[in-house]
Amino acid sequence: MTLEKTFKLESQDGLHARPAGLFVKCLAPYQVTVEVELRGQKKNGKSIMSLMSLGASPGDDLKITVTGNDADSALKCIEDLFAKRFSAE
Amino acid sequence: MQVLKGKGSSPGFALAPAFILKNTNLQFSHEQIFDDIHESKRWKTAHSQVVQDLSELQKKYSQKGPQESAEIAEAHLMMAQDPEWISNIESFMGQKHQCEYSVNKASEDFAKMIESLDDPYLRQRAQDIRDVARRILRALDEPNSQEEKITGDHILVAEDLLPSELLSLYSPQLKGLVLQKGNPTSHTTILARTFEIPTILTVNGVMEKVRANDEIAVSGMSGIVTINPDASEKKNIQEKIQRDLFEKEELKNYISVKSVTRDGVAIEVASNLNSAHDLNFALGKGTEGIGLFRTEFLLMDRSAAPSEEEQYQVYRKVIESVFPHKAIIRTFDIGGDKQVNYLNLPKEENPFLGLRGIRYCLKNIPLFRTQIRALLRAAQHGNLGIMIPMVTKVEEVLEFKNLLKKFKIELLDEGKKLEKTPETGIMIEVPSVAMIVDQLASHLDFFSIGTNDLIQYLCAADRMNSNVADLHDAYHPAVLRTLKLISDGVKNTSCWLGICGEMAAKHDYQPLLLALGFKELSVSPGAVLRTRKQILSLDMESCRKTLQKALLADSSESLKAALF
Repeated sequence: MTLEKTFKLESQDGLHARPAGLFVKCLAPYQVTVEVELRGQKKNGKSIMSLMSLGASPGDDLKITVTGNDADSALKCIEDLFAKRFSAE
Repeated sequence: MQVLKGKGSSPGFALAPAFILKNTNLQFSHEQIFDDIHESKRWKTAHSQVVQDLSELQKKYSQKGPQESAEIAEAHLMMAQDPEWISNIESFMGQKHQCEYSVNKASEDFAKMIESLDDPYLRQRAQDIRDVARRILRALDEPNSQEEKITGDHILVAEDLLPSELLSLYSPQLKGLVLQKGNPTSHTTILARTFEIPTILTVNGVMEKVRANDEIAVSGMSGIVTINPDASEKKNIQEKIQRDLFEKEELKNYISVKSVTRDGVAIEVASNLNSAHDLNFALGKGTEGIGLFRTEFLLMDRSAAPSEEEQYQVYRKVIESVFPHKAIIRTFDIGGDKQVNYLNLPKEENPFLGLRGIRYCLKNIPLFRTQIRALLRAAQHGNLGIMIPMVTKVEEVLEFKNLLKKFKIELLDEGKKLEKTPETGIMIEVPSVAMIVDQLASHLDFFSIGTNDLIQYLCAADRMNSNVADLHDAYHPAVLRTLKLISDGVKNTSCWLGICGEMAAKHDYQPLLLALGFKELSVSPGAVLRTRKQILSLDMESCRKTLQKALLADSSESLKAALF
């Protein structure tokens, strides 16, 4: 199953170490591959280094593609993260 | 005894034997002739050891704090487990490369990519990747080596130190840090300040000059490192350590106390900050707001000015973290000695009398517009005061106020909600503006004195020029008279008066400032508690008496004498 959705980054900072870390952590339990796309660059959403190297800043639109059996739950988890603007709690 | 000088980056004093962190000499082959099975085994052993070490660090700091340390350890752990990085390393080894080469290459690829970004925070993270890589390389160099255990008090001497190395080596016995290289804005330095370890950076030649177990004395503020100090220097530094220790313990009692004089006059003791990184440190010291947030640092070490959104996020963070206290954010103070490559500031004969501060901004409206719009938006999240630097006449204030109005209308037209209006104020750094405070007051909400510049322009002396530095004199009677003039000008207006220069932290000057009606003293975060303690011991009546005496002084010497 492949799901795709675009999110606007509205966290305090850009996709810095902490938010990128939260992103990776939230995906860890799921059997999925995740691709994050910004300005034509596609990166592995389970890799903190790749996510940081996107250089995403607040206001950027990130296209996220989730593939795999758990795509549903994984995408749900990402939605929560963006809704909370990557605040930890 | 040998004395070396570096850049003091975390204050305090220390005296202890040196522990020298030796450089791992990392040389490796670029050739593709290695046995991939053997290399892959070495990699797996080193990697699992590093992952285990980092998990332990993360556990340790998430239980005991400080929070910054736990966050860094966690980020490093996630990097060490990064699937993309691991798969790149393994694929280099698959091409018969040596394990060391593969780790280095894969890490450098990521580090360089991140270093090329615009975001200065992210660029710094390249160091974290190299940090993780270096851990692996060390583990490959000496498999199964436990991290070196150091016993007893020591001062760590190293070429350079990675944040994670500081986290591993940190213990209450680590009394000081002396680095041959180092960067004042790196995570290592920020951590050293959080741990309150006296730290000196860029000490040339220290690695050659210090031998293991040499005794080292460190003065973290002045940046002086003394190798094998003689008896009198030892005694001197020990006294300072004792005094500091005693004071530090005692000052803890003042963290959550209000700054009120004995006769009930409340003063705000705020902090001067260069970056949002030091916010937590200042909050930990019980700061009552931010009296000066210097924004020009946002412009430095990058290739283009930060966007409105990026600035908004920084200002908002500052404003929110100190709420309900005030955050005074100063607009870009560039020019003079502060150069920014991409802004093409003109080379001037006399930069301190040239295009700097508000003068530059009023001639470069696009840059200023972005900043003001970001500030107006951030103001919605707490109590903001916008402060403009280097004002010399009323026209500049009026022009600034007009722009403020114009950009506000722009934002409203775009549908932004702006319910809160920030306070506006100026720095008093120039004698001309000190003389017209009363005329400016009807346009403003506050004034804050920048004492270093004010004294420089009053006394016509550059304190960095050793030939005339003694003429840059806070005790010159003209300086006190100017403060009196400003204070009289503010009286009977609705403006409040603050001070964010070095003078605000001078104990002998503080009674004068209180008597002159200053409502806010903004000092470096490390001086907040000392200043608060002093205010609690003062009463206005005796402050006024001291002021009367001091105003009669006719020389620096007699002014100093009046303060005793």
